[in-house]
Amino acid sequence: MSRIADWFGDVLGFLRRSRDDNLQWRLSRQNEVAELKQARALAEQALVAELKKRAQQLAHELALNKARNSNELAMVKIQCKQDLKDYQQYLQSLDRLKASLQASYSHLPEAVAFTIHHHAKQLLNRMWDADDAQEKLKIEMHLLQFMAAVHEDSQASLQGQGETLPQKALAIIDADLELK
Amino acid sequence: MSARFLYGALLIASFAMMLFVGGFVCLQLGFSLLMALFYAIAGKVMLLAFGLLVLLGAVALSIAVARSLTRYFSCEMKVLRRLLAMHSFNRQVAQRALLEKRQLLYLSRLKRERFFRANNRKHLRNLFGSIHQELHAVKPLLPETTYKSLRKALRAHHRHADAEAMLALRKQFSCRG
Repeated sequence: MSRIADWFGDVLGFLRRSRDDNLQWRLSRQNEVAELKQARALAEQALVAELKKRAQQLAHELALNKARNSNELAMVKIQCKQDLKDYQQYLQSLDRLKASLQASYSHLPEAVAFTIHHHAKQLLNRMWDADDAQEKLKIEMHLLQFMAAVHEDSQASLQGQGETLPQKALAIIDADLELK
Repeated sequence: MSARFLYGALLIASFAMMLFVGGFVCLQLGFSLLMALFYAIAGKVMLLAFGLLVLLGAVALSIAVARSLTRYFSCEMKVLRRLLAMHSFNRQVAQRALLEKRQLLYLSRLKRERFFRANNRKHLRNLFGSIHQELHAVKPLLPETTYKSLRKALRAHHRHADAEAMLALRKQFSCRG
């Protein structure tokens, strides 16, 4: 019985010693633990401040982007409206060209006038759909040359010098069809 | 703290197991009353041990949930979520601007095509009228069936807005005339 009591006493003693060692270790490290806690709190505060600053910067960027985008969209809208107006005016001028051609040639068949007008409209559409600025300019020059040729034919007919059909315009159409 | 509770619960469970073993030994030695007593107490003690373990598990789970919620609602996480939301808004604004621009250009192109088609219809009407008159002029020179089929074809081409076919038809009956 005393052996068991001694054994229990040894076990309890061992447990108390280990707890005392643990307590001593923690007391000796108390300053470092406090410093660690303080450093962690400071680091968290610094991180929160940095994140808040970054969020504010992003909010400012967002407002700038929104304003810039709405301005760009407004400009694109205006440009599209202007493009449409220009296109309508081009169509009207081609209609007037056809009318002047028919007025200059007394017996010009509607089919010939339609062919010339249709060719001019195709050039206009090609010019409008071209993405490359150089290509656009090239087609525009070609269209202007074509309209000038039609005008010259009309002038020649009015002055009684031309043929029964607008030869220059038809020659340009033939040349373009051959190129295709 | 939780380790102590865990060890305590495991100790109680061990005690219950020892009581079960003791009851078995009593059974083997023929002490039936002692065996019944040991088994009754062992069962209840084991139930107590499991109850403590379940309680410990529930408390640990609650603590983990509370910690997660505290971390979620902490200042740091709130600011981080706001930052991520700002990033996302910025991306959305850029995408939206691109899509709106594309839409504007598409609608503008649609309107331009509408103008083009309206202009085409106007001139095709004039062309149809002129070719119809020319066909009517050469009617006496053509058989009746030929005239009717040419007129029908002309109407069909006009309906389909096929200018090339109308011009080709005109050439056809011009040659014949």
